[in-house]
Amino acid sequence: MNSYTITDDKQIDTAREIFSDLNAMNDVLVEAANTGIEAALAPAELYAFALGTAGPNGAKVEAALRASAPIRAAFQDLLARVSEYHVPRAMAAASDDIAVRDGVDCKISIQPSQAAPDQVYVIVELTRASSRLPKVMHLMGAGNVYHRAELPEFHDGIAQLIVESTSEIITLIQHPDTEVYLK
Amino acid sequence: MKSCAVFIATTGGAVQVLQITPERAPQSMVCQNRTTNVLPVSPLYDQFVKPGSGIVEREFGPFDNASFRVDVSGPIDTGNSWQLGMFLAHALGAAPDHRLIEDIAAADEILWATGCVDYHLNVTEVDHVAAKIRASAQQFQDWAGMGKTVTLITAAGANEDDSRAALAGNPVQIFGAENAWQAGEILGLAGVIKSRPEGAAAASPGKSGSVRNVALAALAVVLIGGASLAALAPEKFARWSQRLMELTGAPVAQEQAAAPTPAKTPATIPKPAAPAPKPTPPPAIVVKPPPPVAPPVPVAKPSPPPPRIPEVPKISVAISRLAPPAGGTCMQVHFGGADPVLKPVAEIGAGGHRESDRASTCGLSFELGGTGKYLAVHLRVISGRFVQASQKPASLSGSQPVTGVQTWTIQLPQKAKEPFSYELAVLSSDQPLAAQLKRLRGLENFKGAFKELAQNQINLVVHSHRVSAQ
Repeated sequence: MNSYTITDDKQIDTAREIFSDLNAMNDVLVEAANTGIEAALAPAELYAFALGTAGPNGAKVEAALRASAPIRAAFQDLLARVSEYHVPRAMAAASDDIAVRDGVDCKISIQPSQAAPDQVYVIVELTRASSRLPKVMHLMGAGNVYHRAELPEFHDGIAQLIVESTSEIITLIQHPDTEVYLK
Repeated sequence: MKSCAVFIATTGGAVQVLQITPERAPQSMVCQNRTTNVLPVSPLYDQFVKPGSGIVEREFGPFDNASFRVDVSGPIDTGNSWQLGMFLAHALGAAPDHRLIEDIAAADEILWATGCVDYHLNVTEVDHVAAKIRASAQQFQDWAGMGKTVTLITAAGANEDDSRAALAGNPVQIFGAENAWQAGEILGLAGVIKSRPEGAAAASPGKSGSVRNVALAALAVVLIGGASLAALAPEKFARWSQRLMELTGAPVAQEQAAAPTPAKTPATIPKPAAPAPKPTPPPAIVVKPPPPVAPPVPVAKPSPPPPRIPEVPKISVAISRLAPPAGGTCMQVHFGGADPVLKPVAEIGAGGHRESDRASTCGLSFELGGTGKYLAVHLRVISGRFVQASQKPASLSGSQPVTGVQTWTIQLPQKAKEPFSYELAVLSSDQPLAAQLKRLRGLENFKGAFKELAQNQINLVVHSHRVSAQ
């Protein structure tokens, strides 16, 4: 018989979350099997990628997401189930670039840098506390476009990145059709 | 206009502060060479800058922008020894007759700095100073070749000694600073630093003696957070206080308790633990257990004793302001030049307290007692910030049995745009309370918790108080 020592509530919460995520992944795979989706990826690779531990196979998963609509659909379904924060498509009223994206309990905004005009800040704000803070921002754009950005540590509910203003993450955030998942 | 190039010493060589730019982003950052490469010390720098936890905005602000971006010439991976150089770079930015310059050839002076700067502006010692100087040897040589005035500033004491030994025979001015104000004065920047430690004297290129000021600073910390420390280790506290008194040569006045007749007792050490008896304010909100139900009385047999319903423990809470003494200021209190005076904050009913004035409130002292074996406290900040000068006593975590009154002291920033408003939730029970405390922290409001806790013989009282904005 194996024995386990659970030292604190955080471990229990973490275990509960992982099992919940695995269950969601299982549901996705069952549904994918029923619809004839054949992934060129091991389920564990897709799962690890969604949870922020891309590992050495990250590039392979990313390429598969760009190339395969079924894998992308399965992945987005997984993200929708396990992500605690989601920014839906925006209802753009004007053709201007969007500088702020509002989601449920979160907000993503873009702020130009005064020090380097070719750089911008991406500010991710959480308005609801959660037991686990997101580590990765998944951006699902129109036309099979996918981009992933690791998030720095949150402080006072804010994680702040600085990127080139021409980078893909900015293009995607500013596009109203992009959905963002924070996991 | 005097131009200074500032270098932060690292074991990989001296890293230049290229520029400091105000930004509208919420967090301050340190980037390398104007790229998007954010250095790992950025979160620490953000804390160093922002009001409440940090000193840059306090000393040089208020600023119109929310944050700063600092660009440096190389990596700074760990530690806090960048603080002195960064503080002085901000001082250059704040001084009308000085400027931070990137072009070394055009610089009037080159500053090489290493040291930590604490909340009270003490410059504290760092490790590896000799190794940092060795790593900068080529740069020192280059600057000498350019005929530049090079000034090295570090903490007075061992760091200063190490620097003198490592740079013997080199044309470098070496200064040991006991506090950041002294460090600023070396560069002619003291005028822009808002806080001046009591009795601060300029550092000289000669050897500096830091023991007295360090001891004074430590004494201030002891006085402010002393009661809680004393409650944990009274004998050690008394010995430590005595040692500090000997080192400083300064009389240590007794902290005034919230007594009706304030008679000052000079030259005595603050008494540890055993706070003076004081009127116990009624608990704000006390949940009583349901009234005991009388057991049925048997007819033939003598009636058994009624089941004993455990009593809900009682809780006492006293909130006091740490006020500056007559003629003194909070700055003097923080820097050890004056002893704070404890002034009770009047309760106005239902756990509410009269609003306190920021200018005369250097900090707050909470004296908490309970008749249960365990005591736990949660301070929920509704607005504003505070500085946890001393750790919340472990005895208030609900995980260890306590006896007597427990004291916790916090400090408040002198300048605040918004009031410091808070709720203090205190739990008492005969059972450990760590789990309940954790749960309480996650609640949006405490109202729903009273009934459930009372059913488990846990008492909860909530007190609220507000200190005005400046």
